[in-house]
Amino acid sequence: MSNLDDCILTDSCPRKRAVNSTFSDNFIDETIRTLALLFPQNDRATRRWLRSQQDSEGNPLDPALAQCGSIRTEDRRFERFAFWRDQLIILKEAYDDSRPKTLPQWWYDRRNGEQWYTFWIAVLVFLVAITFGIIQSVEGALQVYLSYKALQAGEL
Amino acid sequence: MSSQLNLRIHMELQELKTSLQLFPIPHAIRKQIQAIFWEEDCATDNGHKGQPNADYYFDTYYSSKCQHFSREGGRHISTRTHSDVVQIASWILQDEPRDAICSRLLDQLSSTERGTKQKAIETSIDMCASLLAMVECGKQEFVFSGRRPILWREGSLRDCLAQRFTAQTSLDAGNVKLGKGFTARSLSRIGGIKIKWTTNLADHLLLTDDDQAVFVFQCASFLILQKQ
Repeated sequence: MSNLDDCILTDSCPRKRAVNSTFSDNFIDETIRTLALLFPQNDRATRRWLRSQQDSEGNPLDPALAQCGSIRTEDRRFERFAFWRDQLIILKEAYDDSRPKTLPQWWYDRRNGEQWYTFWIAVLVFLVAITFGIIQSVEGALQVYLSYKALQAGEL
Repeated sequence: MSSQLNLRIHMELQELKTSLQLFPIPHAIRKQIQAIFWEEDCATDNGHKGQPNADYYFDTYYSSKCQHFSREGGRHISTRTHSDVVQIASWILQDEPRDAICSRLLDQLSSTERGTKQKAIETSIDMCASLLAMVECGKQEFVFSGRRPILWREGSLRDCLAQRFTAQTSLDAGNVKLGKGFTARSLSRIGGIKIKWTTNLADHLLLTDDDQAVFVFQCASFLILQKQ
């Protein structure tokens, strides 16, 4: 019988261990909470987004990512996190400092409402000005052409 | 212990003596490994409908780690079968110090093999620690992974991980709260911060690519199984 057979058949049998994780319960709990924060279970848009994502090798993601629960408002403070606190603070700062770069990002970024309205009103005014500008130019050209034609007809 | 149970355990051990390079890992072997890793009763099926099970862990992590470490005909590791992995894993879970595990494994070898197999044994211990904790353990020279490894040199793995993942107090957050909009979807859609999925817990929530991407641990079912 090999060593492993001995190990399993005697009292040091791994099935009789009291602790079965290499991590503390608090650590595992908090790590699940960071996932609940990033992927709230009750948010339909997040669930849809998760389904569209793939891991680095192109495989679908772990369905359990959408089953980590949601986080209560009073738990949304940095003090409630111990093991992942610094990383969360750095990530939050990076997120707050990020400025939209592409048009879709400008559309979705409503963190600063005033800025969002200013930007989109400016875009709207710009588009309207361009449209009317083009219409006016075409009409002007048409007018010159028609009056030239009329002048020619009058001369004949 | 009844002879029937003895027979069952013996049969289970025979099943576990299957090569690490056989894919996909058969269901019976998964159940056995799960029983040791998460102390689940292998007689009961833990797959309640909708509840996370270990399939994702085995398909994406355990299999790829075995492949990763078994490259070049497995000459970098001393473990050959799942039963070798389970043996080292059960010592790690019993909080055996690393050098004790190493000398136990050396004792199983003949004196001529001992000199040449030392490195393979160290790599095998790193592999089993990686499988158990989902943390990149040890720096392997034969492959470049681009991840941040945890260097477990002495003591038990549990102590080493407790030292690495300690409570952090160095940064002051002020009065800022994590609003409802702080989700992975907004990070990527609004903030332009790409989500990079990782199976290394040590990389979780780490910013990379000049703060344009963040690593997120992808194997949530592993955490939920640990909690159960």
